[in-house]
Formats: sequence, C-alpha cells, structure tokens
Amino acid sequence: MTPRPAGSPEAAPAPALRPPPAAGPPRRKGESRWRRHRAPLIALVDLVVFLLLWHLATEVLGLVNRVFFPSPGDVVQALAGLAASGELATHLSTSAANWAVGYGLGSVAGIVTGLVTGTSRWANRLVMPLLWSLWATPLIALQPTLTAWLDYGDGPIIVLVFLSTMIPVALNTATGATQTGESLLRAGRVFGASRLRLYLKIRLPWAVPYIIGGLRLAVPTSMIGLLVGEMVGSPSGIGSVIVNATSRFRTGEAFAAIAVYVLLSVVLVRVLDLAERRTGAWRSGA
Amino acid sequence: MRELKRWAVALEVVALFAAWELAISVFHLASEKFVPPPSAIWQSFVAMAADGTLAPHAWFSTQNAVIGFVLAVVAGVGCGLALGSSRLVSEVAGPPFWTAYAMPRIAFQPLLVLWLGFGAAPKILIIFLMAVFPIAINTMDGIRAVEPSLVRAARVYGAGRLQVFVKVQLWAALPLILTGIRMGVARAMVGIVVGEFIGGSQGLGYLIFRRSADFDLASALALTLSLVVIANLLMALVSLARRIAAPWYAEGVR
Repeated sequence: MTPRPAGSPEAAPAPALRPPPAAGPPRRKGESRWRRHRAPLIALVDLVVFLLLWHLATEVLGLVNRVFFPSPGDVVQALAGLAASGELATHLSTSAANWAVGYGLGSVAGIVTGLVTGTSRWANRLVMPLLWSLWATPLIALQPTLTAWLDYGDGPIIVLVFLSTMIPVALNTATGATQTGESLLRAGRVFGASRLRLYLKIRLPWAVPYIIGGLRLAVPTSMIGLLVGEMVGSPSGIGSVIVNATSRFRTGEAFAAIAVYVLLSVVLVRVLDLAERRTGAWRSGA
Repeated sequence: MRELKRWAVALEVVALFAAWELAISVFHLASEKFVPPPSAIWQSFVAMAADGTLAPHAWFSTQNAVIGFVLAVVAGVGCGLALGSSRLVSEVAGPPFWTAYAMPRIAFQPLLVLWLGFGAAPKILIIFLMAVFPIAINTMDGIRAVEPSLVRAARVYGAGRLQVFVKVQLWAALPLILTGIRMGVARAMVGIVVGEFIGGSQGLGYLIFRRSADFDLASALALTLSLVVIANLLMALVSLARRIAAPWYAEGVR
C-alpha cells in the first residue's frame, strides 16, 4: 500500500468524515525486512531524487530565474535568515497563539454541539443538515466581513480557525454519539445515572475516538482558515510572511514559510494519530 | 417522512433568518450598518443584480471555475485510475502525490500570482489544485475497491486491459468518483474565493473583499450567502447525478 499520510479527509467514503479506524493491524512475524521497509525507502529515494532534480534545474542548469523560483539551497538559507533575525520566532508565535485559541475553543464548542446533536433526535434533525451545509461552503468567504467587524488583526483569524475547527469536530462527535451502545445507556439508567452522568460517563468516552478523528480532520481545515486569515488581512503570522516576501520577490523566504507550515501540520496530525491509536485500542477489544 | 424532514429544515432556516431580521430591525440589538438584517442584504443583492455590477464578476468567476474544475476532473480521474490500478505507479508516484496533497496549496497563491500574473491563470490553477486531490483520491479508492471477481469475469470473457478499465472498473468506481467530485466542488469554492482575494481585480471573491473594505457589509454578506447557496446547489446536483448514474450505491448520509 502507499504510505498514505495521516489525516486525509478526502479519502473518506460518502460522508466527508471517516469513521475512526481500529488500531493498526498486528505486524506479521514472517514479514521480511525488505518488505516492511520498502515503502519508506522508496519514499526516501523519491525525496532525494526530487531535491536533486530541483537543485539541478535551478542552480546548475539555470532553467528558471531564481528570483521567481528559488533553489533548495536558497530556501534553506532564507529559513536560516528568518530564524537568525528572530522574525521567524515572532511570526510563528503569533500564528501558534491564534491557532491554539481558535482550535481550542472550536474543539470544545464542536464536542458540546456534537454530543447534544448526536443524542437528541430533534437536535439531530435540525442541526445536522445545517452543519453539513456549512461544511460544504467556503467559510473563508467571511474573512473580509469578519475583518470589518473585528478589525484588522487577530480577531478574524481566530474566528476563522474556530469555525473551521468546530464544524468537522461537531459532525464527527455527533456521528459517534448517535452510535453509543443502547445497552450501555440502559445499564447506566438502571444504575441510576443522571442525564449529566450519562453524558460524562458513557456518551463522551464512547465518542472519544470519533472526537479525535474530528480533531485530526480539523487540523488541515483550521490551517486553511489560519493561512487565509493571515494572508488576506494580517500584518503578522507565517501567512503574512508568505505574502510580504512574495511581493518583495523574496521567493526563498516564501518557500521557507510554507515549509514551516507543512512541518507544523504534519507534526500536529502525527500527534493526533498517536492519540487516536491509543484511545481506539480499547474499543476493538470491547 | 423524508418530505417532513426537508420541510422542518426549510422552516428552521426561515426561522433563523426571521430571528436575525427581528433582532436587528425591530429590537436594534446592533447597528444596521454593522450587522445588516436579511432584508437589507436582499435589497443590496437585488441592487447589484439590477445595476449590472454582479453579472461581469459572476461571469469571470464562473468561467475560471468551469475551466479549472473540468481540468481537475479529467486529471483527477486519470491520476486516480493510474494510482489505483497499478501497484508500481502507486509505489513510485504515490509518495510525491501524497506530499503534494499534504502541501497547503492555498499557501502558494501569492507565488502563483507572482508567476502567472494578475489575470485569470492563477485563479484557474488554484481552483484546479484545490479540486484535483479529492477527485484523484476517491477515484483511486474506488478502483481499489472494485470486486476482483468482476474484473476476473471480464477477463474470462476476453476483455483486454483497456476494456476492463472502461467497461468494468470505471463504472464500478463511479459512485466514489462522484463522491470525490462532490468534495472537489466544495474545495473548488475555496479556491475561487482565495484566488480572488489575493491578487484579484474581478470576480465574486474580489467583490466581497472590495465591498467589505468599503464597509458595505450588506453587499458583502449578500455575495457570501450567494456563494453558500451556489455551493450547496452544486453539491446537491452532484448527489443527484450519483443517484441517477449509480442507483445501486446505497449511501448512509443524504
């Protein structure tokens, strides 16, 4: 199989959100070393070939003007320059803070909405279609209006990140909550659990893998929100570095900023993947 | 039952807008300039349509969207077929494909403008880039999920590789391809908007940006809501196409 990167929401069948996969299949004992390492090895070779070709095309053959298209070396140099001048740290911390606030609030709001939506039939009927249709629409089109409401700066970015986190998390949580084992709920009631306790002790734990699936799905979408917000209406943040560097023909810097973004999203997705595997394990045994 | 559900949702949307209207026009919870009520939004939409500002911008966006999206469908289905049916292709071309997929494509928009200019080209390209991946990935999944017995049956009857492709695999994968196309529509909408936000001078996205900057929020929201309506209509259309073209494919949601 291809080494599919974690968190590829497009891969999901019909509903855009995919159900949480069970814990990874146990590795067979007889597998040869070559077999197990083949995919990553090919990927590595690909990467090296790609970088070499890129280097060759830009620096050695000079096929393109390096003002417009930097070489790998230029990108590394630009990244080092950004890091040394402290610009990287400033912008990165702005981006990280905005993202964290939006993503944190969005996750909480999404989980609560999802739990309520997933457990009440009426809420399910009324809220789910709206959530699906919001999921389908380009929320970033709100960016200019948000800027008018909240001023140029962090406000609109946080709202965009919030919205693009909340919707996938709510959809996924609701899916998980509707599938809570009926007998578990009955057992809870028999033992005299209150409504709140049913939520906290049965529905929430049951939905945890789904919630994490939603959180993972929200990483790329919230990153899009962050990027658009920063590129269109903000003086600081990694997205603004991309725009400003490009407008000054410093494409190396723009590429370096994009690389930082990629690295961030990959790390976040990996962390959530790990969490998913940990929390998903008990269910396949149960 | 289904009808009832649809009515309930329609009623809910109407109720939401009515509450919004009441809150602003009757109770004056916020300034009308700041949070325009639905009636004002509708009025500015009608005004924009009547005085001819809307049509050229809408036409520009539509043109770009259609070109970019058609290219994305052709390329996406092609790549998906190749990746899904050949192990070799998927192992050699897979990693660069997934890497490209992992890239935040919209981050390249300023660079696309630098490379291709302020015209339609970078917009078409970003729409293409946004839409192509869901289509390719779903096609790939669809091809991989084709029942081997179907393929074997075709082989037994003497079908060649191309025939198996065209007559069996493509059809069996059709529901998932259409699912990919539906997701592609949603992504393409993002592409349209971002493409025109950054380095744009025409189009609906640009108009939203321009009007908000002039604090004409009623117009901006009118345009945003039209994008929402267009996106949902297009997705419903693709769902309908799937129901007609692949009625055997049972789907859980919608």
